[in-house]
Amino acid sequence: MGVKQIEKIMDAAKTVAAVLLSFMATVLLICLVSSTPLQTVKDFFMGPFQTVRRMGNIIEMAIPICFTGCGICIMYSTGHINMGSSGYFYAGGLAASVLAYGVLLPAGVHPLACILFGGVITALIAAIPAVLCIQWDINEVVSSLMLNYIWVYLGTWILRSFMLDPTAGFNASKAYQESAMLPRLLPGTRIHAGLLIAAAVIVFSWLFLKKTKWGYQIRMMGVNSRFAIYSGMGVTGILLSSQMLGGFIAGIGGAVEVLGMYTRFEWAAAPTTGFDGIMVAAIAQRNPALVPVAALFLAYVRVGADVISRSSDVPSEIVSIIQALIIMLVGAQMFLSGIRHRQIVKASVRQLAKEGK
Amino acid sequence: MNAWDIIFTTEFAFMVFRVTTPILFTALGAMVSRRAGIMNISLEGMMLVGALFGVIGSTYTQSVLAGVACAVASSLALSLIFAYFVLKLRSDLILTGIALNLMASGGTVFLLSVLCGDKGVSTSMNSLVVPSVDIPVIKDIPVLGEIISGHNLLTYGALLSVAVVYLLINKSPMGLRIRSVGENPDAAESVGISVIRTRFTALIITGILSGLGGAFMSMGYVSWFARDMAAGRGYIALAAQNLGNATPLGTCLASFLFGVADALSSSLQVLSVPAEFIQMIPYVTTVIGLVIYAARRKRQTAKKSAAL
Amino acid sequence: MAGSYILEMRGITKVYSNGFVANKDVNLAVREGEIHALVGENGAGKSTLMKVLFGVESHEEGDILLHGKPVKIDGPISAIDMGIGMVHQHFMLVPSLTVAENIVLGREPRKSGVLVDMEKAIADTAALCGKYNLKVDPAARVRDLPVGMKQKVEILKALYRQAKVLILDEPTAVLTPQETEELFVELKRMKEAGHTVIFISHKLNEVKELCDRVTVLRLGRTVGTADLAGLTEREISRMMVGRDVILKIEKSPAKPGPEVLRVRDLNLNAGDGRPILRNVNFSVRMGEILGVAGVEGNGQRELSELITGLLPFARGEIAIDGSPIRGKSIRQIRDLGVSHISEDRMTYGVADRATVSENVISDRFGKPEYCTRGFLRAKEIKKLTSQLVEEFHIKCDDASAPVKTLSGGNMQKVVAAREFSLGPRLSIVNQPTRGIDVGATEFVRNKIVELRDAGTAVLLISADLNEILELSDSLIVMHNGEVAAYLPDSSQVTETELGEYMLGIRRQGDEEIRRVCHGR
Repeated sequence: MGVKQIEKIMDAAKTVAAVLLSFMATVLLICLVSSTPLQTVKDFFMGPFQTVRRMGNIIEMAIPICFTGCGICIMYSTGHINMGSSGYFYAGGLAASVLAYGVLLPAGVHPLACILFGGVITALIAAIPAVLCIQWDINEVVSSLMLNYIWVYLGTWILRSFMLDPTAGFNASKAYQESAMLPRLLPGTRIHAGLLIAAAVIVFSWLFLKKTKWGYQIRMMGVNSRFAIYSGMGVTGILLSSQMLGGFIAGIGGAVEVLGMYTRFEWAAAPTTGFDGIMVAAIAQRNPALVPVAALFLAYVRVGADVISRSSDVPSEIVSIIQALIIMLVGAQMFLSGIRHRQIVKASVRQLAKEGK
Repeated sequence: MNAWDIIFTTEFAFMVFRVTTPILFTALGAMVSRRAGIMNISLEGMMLVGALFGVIGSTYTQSVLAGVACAVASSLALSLIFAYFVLKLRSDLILTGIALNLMASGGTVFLLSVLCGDKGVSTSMNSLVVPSVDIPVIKDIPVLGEIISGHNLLTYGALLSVAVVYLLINKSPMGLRIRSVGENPDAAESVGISVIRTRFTALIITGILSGLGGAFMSMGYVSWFARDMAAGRGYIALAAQNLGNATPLGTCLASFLFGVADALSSSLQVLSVPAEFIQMIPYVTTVIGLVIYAARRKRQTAKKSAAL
Repeated sequence: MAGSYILEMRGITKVYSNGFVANKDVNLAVREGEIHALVGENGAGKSTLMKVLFGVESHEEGDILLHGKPVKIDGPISAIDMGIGMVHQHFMLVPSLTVAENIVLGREPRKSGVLVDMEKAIADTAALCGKYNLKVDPAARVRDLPVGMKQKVEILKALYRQAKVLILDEPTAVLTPQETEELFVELKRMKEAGHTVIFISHKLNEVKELCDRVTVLRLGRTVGTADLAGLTEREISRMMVGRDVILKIEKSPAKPGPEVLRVRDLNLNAGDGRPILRNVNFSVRMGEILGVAGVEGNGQRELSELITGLLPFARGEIAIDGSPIRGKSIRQIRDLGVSHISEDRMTYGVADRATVSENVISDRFGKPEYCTRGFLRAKEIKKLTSQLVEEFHIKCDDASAPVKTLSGGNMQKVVAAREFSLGPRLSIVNQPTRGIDVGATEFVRNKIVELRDAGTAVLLISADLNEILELSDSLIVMHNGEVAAYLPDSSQVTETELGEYMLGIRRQGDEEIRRVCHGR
């Protein structure tokens, strides 16, 4: 076994160990707070698969996360981290809503137009932190965090001033046109046509990042930006375009979510889907092909937590502890590094012995 | 009603102090981290945890002091987890911060629900608040007395912290070491300063300050804990520190700027100016501030190299 | 006189984990109160020896004796505690702190137990400055100081920690002549005050002027130690640059064609105004290898980065096949047929976490052979990689192994495979065999000759005399940012002659040097 295989196996082992450890912590917590620990643990793990509706919930919940996850994979592959995804998701949803209630288009075209519009607006927004970084070397984490608040306040103002439906009784836009909404795919669930778009986006992101020359340049810049410069790549262009594409994808995610799950725009704050995308991209190690797996996993534990919060005395927020543990352990370079190192040393010794003969 | 009539009142000035308090504590904490070379976005979570444990601690001990101590201890614990993962296990700074914030956001609701069966607020718990005090003599001065007397003890604590952090960072041996570790870890290491130990210390200080910020939220600003009550103040604190260029005084002024914007947004609701634009002020200010600062720095370097 | 040695290093052997022997049985004995020069070519093992002494690197064999007693130094702290101070080439200072703060860092005087006693720190610093006549303002911020001042702060730092033995690693490399003069006065004063100085340098005139005795290292071994009083610069240079021919490269005489690279009146200044390149003129013709010899840091790095576009253009002219590169991007320069092996393999040469395949296509991924409609052609790339892996004898698990899992030699072969396989018009080859094993070295050198025979113009920059003399057809020597000599036939050059040009003992007349400008 070569060093490369060991690295691969250890990466996988680390993820599995992180998942197992966090599950153990969950079980422990359930036992501490629940009066019926055995039943609750069983409900948590099995519950999500017990009805079609719950399985539907997993998929519905995973759809938007796939978008932000793929967007983050592309943006983060340049080696530049930003926190803008939750603002992007919000902006995409809002922009799409404008067209969703405001214009009349044929059924097939209407949602696509809304989604594209949402994506384009978001792409423009996503360019801002990149430009600030290129032009003035301003830290993207801080600038994108601040811009998130700006977008949400701006959006709320737009919603209240121009889109408000006074009859709704709360801050919500006028109802979307029938033609704009994404059709449901499976009776008994709320799984909508956004699933197909998500699948397309995942395939696109994977192809783009792993198979095209643009994705290649993004990845090389992320590994070693000076190598990219030396090889003749234009890194500022790569940075700007990758951030815009990532924003575009997160934006259409927001659009798909509002058109698939809502009948009017009613977000009072940015959903956590942006942060979920960061987590999912981290678990998937910036590989879009693994994003749906990670997103489904995240959705699965959330649905499990929902189930037990209804069937027992354990609040659904237990899920946040699982999430945090997984993310932190997967991201920890030194976690299990001892074992990895010993395995690699062993393999090298074996290799030397073989060559010696 | 005219905007100026609202702003030029002692009530408004009083309110600025009140809303600035939690931001100021946490921004000072962010500053200490930053000086040690750590971008700490887990402040939001630290505040939240501090706020909840202030309520829990004071409920079960019926002692204000013990409540505040619990708040500080819990925030400190979160800070140590952050430190362990980032410094020892070499986890990604940002990811760990996000994870801890999500954990704090969910975990506090989890605990709240377990302890009092409510996922929203802790009003069923009999928690205490930190008392407000009048400052003798000053309280009788017109205008000034009305503005700066009668505040929560923690508000005075926050103002005092500016001085303490100033002394710590600028005048103490630990501060000198924190700054050296943040700026040139190799230089620090070459004179025998442990980078990891120094950063741990900085994160401990950050934990304590954010815990106090959290305690004020639930034991002063209001008298209960509500889910996600930090409401982005941790991130604002990070921005305030950034806008204040990581100096104690700058951070303090930037925090007050955010405080003014916050106070404005709740006072000016009655005006025709949309509340959202007023609420946006702090964030827009930060972005513009960052641009002005960076543009000036860029011009200076350009001038410097052109002169030679 | 053995009793008067303050410091002895006996039989020091240091082997790096990649098997490179940096020091072999090295001896160094320094007398109390002298200024002892440590000289040798790049890679002779000076820095390694000093790292061992300062506790930064551990050694496999040998003893370190302080005042005749064996000591164990396991880190900078213990070295400092034993009275050894080091002034690194890259300053270990905190820019935003004041001079006094930098000096007391880690050993701060305290006021009432809690705060730093800044008055005492400043007073101590001022006293130290006064004692050694080092003129530095204790309250100034380090970031506002010129380089020479920063160096004084470094020296003060060591003195504040009561260093008896002070190591200075090429201290004059960053200084102006005036600053160098000042430094020498200060060092002599320190010697009078009873300190011992170890002075690492390439500049023999400085060594001669300042030092009492000299130890010469060559290829990781001690050549000898001598009193400088009875020694000429010429004699020292002979000790330094004598060479053992390890690798013999077979090559036929060059058949130079027309001029490919044309460099005229090239000038470059550093950020602080120091000149780095001064009026550099030369040509490289098709099918010839022009070597650039010289001690490192005499402008060679900047020269290669200017030609390849990594550094923004300075004053002068650079043209490739007649087209000037001013205003061209790195991509456009590469499209003119320029390839580049950087001396800094890990910074520029490879993307370490990327695969061998991804590393070899970084300069050609957009070409139609490897890319249609934006999609990379996996099959073609795979074919190219396996062909290059075979042709360049790259030892790796397979083409999808991350480059970081390869040895240094194989990594360099990956770089060479990429840079040599596009049939370049001009190849800038900078330190092509640094830090790699003998087998890979021989391989890469043969490839360079093959490249030449195929008609490429090669500019070979190397601090390795063996390499320069073996490979180049003709060569220029750089000293102090200038071309100090042009030697049209490398095979006629002796090491002694080359050493003298490299170390600034001799310089050709302008007319002689001008001969390197071929072409119109």
